[in-house]
Amino acid sequence: MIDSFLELATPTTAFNVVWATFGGMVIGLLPGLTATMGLALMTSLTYGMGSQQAILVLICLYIGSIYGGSRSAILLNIPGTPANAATAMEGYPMAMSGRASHALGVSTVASLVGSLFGALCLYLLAPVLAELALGFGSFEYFFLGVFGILIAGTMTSLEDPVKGWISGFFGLLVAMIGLEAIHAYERLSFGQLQLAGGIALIPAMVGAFGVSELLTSIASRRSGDVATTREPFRLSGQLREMASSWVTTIRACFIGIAIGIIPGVGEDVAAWISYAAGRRSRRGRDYGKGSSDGLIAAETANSAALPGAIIPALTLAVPGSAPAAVLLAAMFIHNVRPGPLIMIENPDFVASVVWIVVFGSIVMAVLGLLVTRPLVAILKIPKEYLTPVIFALCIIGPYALSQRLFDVHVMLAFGVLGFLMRLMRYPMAPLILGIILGGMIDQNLRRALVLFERDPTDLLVRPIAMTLAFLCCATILAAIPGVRAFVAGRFGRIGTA
Amino acid sequence: MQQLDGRALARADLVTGACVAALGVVVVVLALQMPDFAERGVNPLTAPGIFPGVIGMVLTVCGAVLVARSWRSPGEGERRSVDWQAVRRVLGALAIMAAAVAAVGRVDFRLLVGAVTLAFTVFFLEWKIPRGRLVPRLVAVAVTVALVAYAIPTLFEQVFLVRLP
Repeated sequence: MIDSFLELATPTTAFNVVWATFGGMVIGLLPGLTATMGLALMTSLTYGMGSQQAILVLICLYIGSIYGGSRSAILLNIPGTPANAATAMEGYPMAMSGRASHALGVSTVASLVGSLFGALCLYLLAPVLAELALGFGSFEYFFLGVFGILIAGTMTSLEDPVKGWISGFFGLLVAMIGLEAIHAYERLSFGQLQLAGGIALIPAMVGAFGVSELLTSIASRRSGDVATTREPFRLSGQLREMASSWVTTIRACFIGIAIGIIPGVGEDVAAWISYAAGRRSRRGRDYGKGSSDGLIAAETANSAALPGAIIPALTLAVPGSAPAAVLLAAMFIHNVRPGPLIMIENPDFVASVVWIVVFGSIVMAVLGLLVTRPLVAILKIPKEYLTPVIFALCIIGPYALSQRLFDVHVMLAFGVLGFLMRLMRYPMAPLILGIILGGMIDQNLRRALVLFERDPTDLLVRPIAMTLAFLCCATILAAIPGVRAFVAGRFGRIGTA
Repeated sequence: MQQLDGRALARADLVTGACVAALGVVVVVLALQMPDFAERGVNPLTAPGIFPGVIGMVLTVCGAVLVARSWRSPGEGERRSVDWQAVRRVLGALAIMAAAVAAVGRVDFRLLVGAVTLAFTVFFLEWKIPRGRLVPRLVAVAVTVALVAYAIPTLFEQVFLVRLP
């Protein structure tokens, strides 16, 4: 850890941490620009950088954008990113009652605590998970991938998991296009040379998150009252508030990490689950009226989920959230090989990532406390000026990766698809997770089938594979209303007996 | 343009469910047509069509569930009128984006993004404004066009060493 710190402690690192975190805050602050979109666009900026500085820029951008979204959520009642929707529930009423500076300060301290706790968990859990994953075979990887798709589909579309699963399996189908890895057979390419190369992740992500966001933002003419931040700001007041909500803070930290580690789920779900848990607590009766406890629950959880989402990306090559999926793709682009062997092949990299999260979090808090007021001025720029700027980046990003015009066409196609999916309430994260995991699930299914044919009892002596298979079945069954009602009835009867 | 809900969502689910189920069936058929390389002495369980076939089956089942559910409960609530202004804005943006993507590689990139910026601002900004506000707006548009057409490509090409279309 000390070596990694000394290696990272350079003026270049300091410069990159500051601009990337600030850039992330601007991206997060602007409604219509999400962390995933920011990362997907900025990946093209990092092609010329060394691997460590490139990943540093992307992680700091990720931290900054998740935090930046809370600024517009509090001051404008428009969550800058989906991860800050729960923040707006408490932050905006606080701001409208003349406590805007207090709300901004509390959310900053909560974000700092959440992300530092996440960094600690990243440091402690990544080696454990990597060690565990060393024993993974084809059965485990297959069931882990399928579980990732199912749970991401369920959690990102709680009111209708079928739509989440359709989105995830459609992503898997997209991943099947092109040459497959075992026999080098061209699947679903219909003789088209461009399709034989497959659909690249970055163009699909830029389209699904970037262009579709632009179209959604163009469609709506949303505007709101910007709350003023004229009352005096006292850091001691925010720290006292955090101390009085210590139970909520600890609960939110653990919820954030747990949800972050689950493949494909991400910060927005973590914030909502933590907020819902807080609402059921003793202080929950004040929620919805500008409760700082609710604000702490949401902001701590979404910030803790961020390093949590990086843990499986590093150790299993399975992203914990949509932005972590871009980060994973960027790691491959920069010749970092995430997966169970990372702790053997590149242990310093994991330690570097922990320090990057720490640096990014500290800079985020300092910048957040210093520059929030000038940043809010950016919200006054009409989106009609910003849209072409972002669209130019949407063209440059996919093209820069492999200089294929086909990737620009893929970007636009996924943009339209993403817009229609949003309109019809299909979640986007499982689609991207499907594209990422498709190859891995496919190869491991076929290897697992061969192993199963040789010795069917082999599966029975693999507890992790059996557990994952059970979780897959449980996730499917839990989404069936009849099964849910039956289980609730049984537990109800046991409870009343 | 808001997300669909109530009756409109149920109707959209019916249509998309049918499309997803049809796609699933097509994928299963395509997967069955893929070779299993048995003539090469390869284990047929490694055939490339296995997983696409599974995906096709899952999509068919999920699509059928969506269709059945929307058929049984066609949604509640009053029919919401279509926000034609939002539709027009989206179609306008899509037309500009499609034209830009079609022109990538054929037109100089700086010229292209400058033209896209101009098109976006002309199409989407409100131009029925008092004459006093017209000049500042025109200046703002000119600055944005210059920024996007010159600064962004130069930044990517010179600083981040990215090759542009």
